[in-house]
Amino acid sequence: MHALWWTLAWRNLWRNKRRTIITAGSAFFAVFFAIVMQAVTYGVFGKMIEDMARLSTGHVQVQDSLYLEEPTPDHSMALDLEALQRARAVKGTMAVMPRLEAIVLASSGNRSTPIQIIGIEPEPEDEVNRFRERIRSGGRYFEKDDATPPALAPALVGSALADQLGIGVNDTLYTIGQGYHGVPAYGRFQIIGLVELGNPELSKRLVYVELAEAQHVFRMEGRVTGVVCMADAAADLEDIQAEVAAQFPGQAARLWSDLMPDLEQTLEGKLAGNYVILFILYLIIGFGLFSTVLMMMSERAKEFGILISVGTGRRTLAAMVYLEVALLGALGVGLGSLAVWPFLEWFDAHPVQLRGDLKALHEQYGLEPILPVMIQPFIFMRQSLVVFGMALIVGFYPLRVLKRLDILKASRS
Amino acid sequence: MMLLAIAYRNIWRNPVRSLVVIGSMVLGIWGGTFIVGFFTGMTQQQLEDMLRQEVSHVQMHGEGFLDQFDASDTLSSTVRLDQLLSADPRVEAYSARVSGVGLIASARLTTGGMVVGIDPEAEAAVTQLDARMLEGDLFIPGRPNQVVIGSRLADRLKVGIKNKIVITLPNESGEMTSTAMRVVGIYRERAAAKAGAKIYVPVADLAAILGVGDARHEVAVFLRDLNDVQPLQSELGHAFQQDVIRSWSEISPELRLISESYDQYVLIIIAIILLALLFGIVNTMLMAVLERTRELGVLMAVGLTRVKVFWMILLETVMIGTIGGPVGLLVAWGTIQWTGRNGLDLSLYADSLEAYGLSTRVYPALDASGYLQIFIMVISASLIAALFPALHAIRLKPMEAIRS
Repeated sequence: MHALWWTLAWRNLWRNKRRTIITAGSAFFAVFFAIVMQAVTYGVFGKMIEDMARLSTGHVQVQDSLYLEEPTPDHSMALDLEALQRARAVKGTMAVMPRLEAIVLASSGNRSTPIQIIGIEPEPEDEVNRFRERIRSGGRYFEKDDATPPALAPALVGSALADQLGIGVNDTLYTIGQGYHGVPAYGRFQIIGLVELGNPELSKRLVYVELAEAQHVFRMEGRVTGVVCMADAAADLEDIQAEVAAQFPGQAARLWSDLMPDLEQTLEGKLAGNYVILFILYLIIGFGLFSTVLMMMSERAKEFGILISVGTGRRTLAAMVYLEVALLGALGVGLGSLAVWPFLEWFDAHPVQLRGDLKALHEQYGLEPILPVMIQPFIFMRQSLVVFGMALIVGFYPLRVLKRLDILKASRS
Repeated sequence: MMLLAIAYRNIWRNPVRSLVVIGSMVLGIWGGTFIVGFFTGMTQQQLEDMLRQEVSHVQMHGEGFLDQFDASDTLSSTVRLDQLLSADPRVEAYSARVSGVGLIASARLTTGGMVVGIDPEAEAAVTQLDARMLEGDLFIPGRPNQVVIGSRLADRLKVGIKNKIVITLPNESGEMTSTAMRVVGIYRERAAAKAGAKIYVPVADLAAILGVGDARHEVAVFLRDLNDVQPLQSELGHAFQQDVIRSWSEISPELRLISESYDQYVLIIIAIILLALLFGIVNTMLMAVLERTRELGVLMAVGLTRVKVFWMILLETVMIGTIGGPVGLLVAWGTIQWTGRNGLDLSLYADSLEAYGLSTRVYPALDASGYLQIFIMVISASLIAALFPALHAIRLKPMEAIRS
């Protein structure tokens, strides 16, 4: 392509600054809105995943390769402490926590109900889930140097479960379940605290005990059912999955999407609705872009008519105008994606507060009642490419106009 | 009046430009309306599915049963309830159940879940369980210890038709009882994270296991008309003062919130679309004014006051709006009617919707007030969009404008 075309196209842009600003402006706003929209959508989804992963499966979980299909104590794994230390050193992991989970029947008095018992390491779990802040007054968290150690193994009970069973702090909780290699596992725990888990479903069925106690009850000394990894917000989960997997040879490292297929499907379903909205937004944006280019062409008819009459080839002119539109698009898209960034950062720092019932629902589930945004390069890249692509397509319209331009009429207009 | 005529003529002096603005308005109204219709349709469908399959319209439980699932907390009088509900013309169907929470175990796995004793015909009429059967039967008459389980639970337990599972439940006096049962049927289980495992056994069998005799723990009622929910709830409340009677919105507050959370989400989306539309119109109108600098200069020079120029440009936009608005509404109405009848297939994007228990076909729907709201919003957006170019126009200096 001739360097001259570029020069001419560039100069043409600045010959009428105001027009250029308006046309580039439509690309600017197009990319701006497309990015805002996707940042909000992915922000909401990302937060849902984050909240669920924190309380239940983690972003990545190392398990025995058979555990996912058949979550029984027999498919637990021996915990390699050195591998655990190495996994904690993997870049991008925020916390790596061994857990032992089992479903048992719990009873207190003559009431019983199935529950999920989770053996945890108290300190790292508290850092992730802030258990200490969630304990109902009167109770306490697991402490290493306990002044008044409970007579039995201590347990934290989900507040809704405690209400259902009618039990409170210092009561005894009995559990019956299945231990390693099919031995019956009987547990006796002293409740030291009731924990508000936010999510009512989890609160109705979770009991936390110390990992060593759980291993003892289920005859699983030195074994766990999984090692849960939480990742930093910016980390690439697949990289972490690969690196953590390398520390535990012979085991399976699974992503949250494999561990919670239901959640993934829910999100995918919502994403399908989002595509419909995005499609309509693109239509409106595309039309806005098209209309400014259309106006530009009718405004410049005279100029083009004269250029062709004095001997400029229609093809040359067409190439130049196409370049102009492409440059306008690139300019608008570039500036738009730059301008949207501080805007999103501001909303990240000062999120939109939800109101009314929606706020109540979020609070009931222990979630912040806000509209989160996600600021990730892939959103910027994708939307910029789409809008720039639209500009390139819209650029074909001037070509058609130039091809059919009646020079006499145009020069006289 | 003169302004009106000038404005009208201005519109058709450059039809391309006007058509572009009309086009963006049509598109904006169509897009906004369609999105609202799409979400309304999706939400309604979700609500109907959930009411039909899980929640029903009204549920009655024995006092205390919901807190502790204690087998002894039965309904006060099943016989009187039967008489009342079967004679009520508002009731489409009802199902009286016995239920308990316990452990469900196969040779491979033990998990927790809810065991529900049902009369298959009554249950089919209320929750359409018969239509959701994937394999086997909804009980085979004359066989002992039959159980129907969900597809997801069957996968987890690794059991199929004719396999055995063991359920362990606390009975009426609080003692644990274990019963071996044979799977006779598997139903399609929705993947909603909320629902725990639910398995069905014949009502008489479970009543015998729990030792409750003819008493029942819950009754689910499905009505012909949603508006009858409140009256029926209060009538039942008077008749059965010891029992707990809840309407669907009390049973599942999330369900009511599904629609409301969509409302706020849709509002935000509409706001983004309106803004995008606003800038599209500002751009075109501003271009139009810039293009007409000379002409506006002449108009001002021959004595049209700035106020009049301002109104002229606003009037042009209003006129364009009165053309674009109805056209947009008509197109939107047509699209919603058409897709509402034929459904919009989303399976391309989400095969998994079906597994989640939602249909991959969405049937958009919108009532008149919905159309009106969008229409008003788009027209106001275009008026706001016209302000900017109009303000620019009145700042022109006639002499400079003419010479440009």
